Amino acid sequence: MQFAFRDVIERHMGTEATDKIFYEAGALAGKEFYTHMLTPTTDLNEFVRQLQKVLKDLGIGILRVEKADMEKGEIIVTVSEDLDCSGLPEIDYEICIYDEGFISALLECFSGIKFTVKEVDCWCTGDRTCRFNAKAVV
Amino acid sequence: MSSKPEDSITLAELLVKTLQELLASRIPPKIPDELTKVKGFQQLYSTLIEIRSAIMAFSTGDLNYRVSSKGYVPGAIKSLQAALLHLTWQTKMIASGDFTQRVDFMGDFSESFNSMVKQLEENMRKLNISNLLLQDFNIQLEHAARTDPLTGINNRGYFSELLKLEMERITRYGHACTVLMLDIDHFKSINDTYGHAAGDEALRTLTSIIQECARKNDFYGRLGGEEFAITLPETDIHGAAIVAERLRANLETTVIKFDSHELFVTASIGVSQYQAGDTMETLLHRADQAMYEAKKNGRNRVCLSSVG
Ligand SMILES: [Zn+2]
Repeated sequence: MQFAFRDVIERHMGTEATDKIFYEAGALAGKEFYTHMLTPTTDLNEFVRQLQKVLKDLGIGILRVEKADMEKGEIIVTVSEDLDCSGLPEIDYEICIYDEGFISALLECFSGIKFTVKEVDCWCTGDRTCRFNAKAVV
Repeated sequence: MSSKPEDSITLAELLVKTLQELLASRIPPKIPDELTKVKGFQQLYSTLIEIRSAIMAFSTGDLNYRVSSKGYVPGAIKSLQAALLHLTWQTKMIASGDFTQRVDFMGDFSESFNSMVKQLEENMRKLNISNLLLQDFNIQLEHAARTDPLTGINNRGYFSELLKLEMERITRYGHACTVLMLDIDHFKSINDTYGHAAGDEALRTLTSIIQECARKNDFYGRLGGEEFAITLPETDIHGAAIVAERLRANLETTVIKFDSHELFVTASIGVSQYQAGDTMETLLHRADQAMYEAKKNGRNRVCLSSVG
């Protein structure tokens, strides 16, 4: 669905503007999600724990932290979505821009610092896993 | 360009041999010239090389090897990598005290790991309790080391420590300070006549009178036997004389009860004031001398040290 939708927007607005729309839409959703689904905390572990639980409970996906260096403002996470991606083009498919926006807003709400999130990898092995690199904007 | 079927077979065999070697050999084979012309082979070859290198890297502990190939097999390798990296992060979190971490993607290992974390948490909990008990015990021990067991006030050692600190303050800031030396009169005969229980009661009575008369910054201790000392910071000898007189009068009129007896005791008190050049010993010594002066002059009285 999202892809058909995206195709139409992309045709009218161009790729760059479409990416921007999806990133911002994701960020808006992330902000709402943070406000309504999570209890504010300053502890990264606690934040991750809550996020993992809610994402899992809602069936959105499994979040795993690969690296988190808050001092350097660098975080790498993977999100595995339990969805059948056999129909999707799995080769060279890396456009979870909505998710990038979503994660950036979550991190900003948590830390008060702006984050740029980039999907650096995406693979499909039964479920789809995306790897995101988040960097604090200094 | 036409090719004979035998050529295709030879080429296919070469392909199989090369791929087999790629899987089997420690050093990957060079691509035979004939295969460089086969469409897509170079790409396949470099993907396989990358998979080889990635698995080798993970098996030797380098979890940061980046696999750029796409598709199912590279994806499976990335899933393993993501799991191991996450496990590494979880272990770090556990090491920093977050015992809520659980592994749920590594089969039997998950179970063992999780029970290890639970055990660790339990041990830490026990350790914390022991630490608290130990701290508490240390506090008690420290208190005991400073306290006279009979009266519950500072013993000689700790009183001396406090006075030493006060002496440093006086030397630095130059304000006044006085010391009272108290000694219960005829203490030996109280013990001899009424028994040690009576003597102990007399010591406790004097202690509570000292506690009542002492002001906020004053400190005191039992120096041993029936001898007590009080330090009055920022007080000159005239101020100290008033406190000493109040102490003496209170003790004299306080009835000491033990068993069925009621008795009264008195004390002789010497007062000395700090002078430039005084050490703790000289200051106490002059108070002591004044106290003996009081004894000599009939007891139950306050004597001020002549100098200062
Ligand atoms: Zn993705």
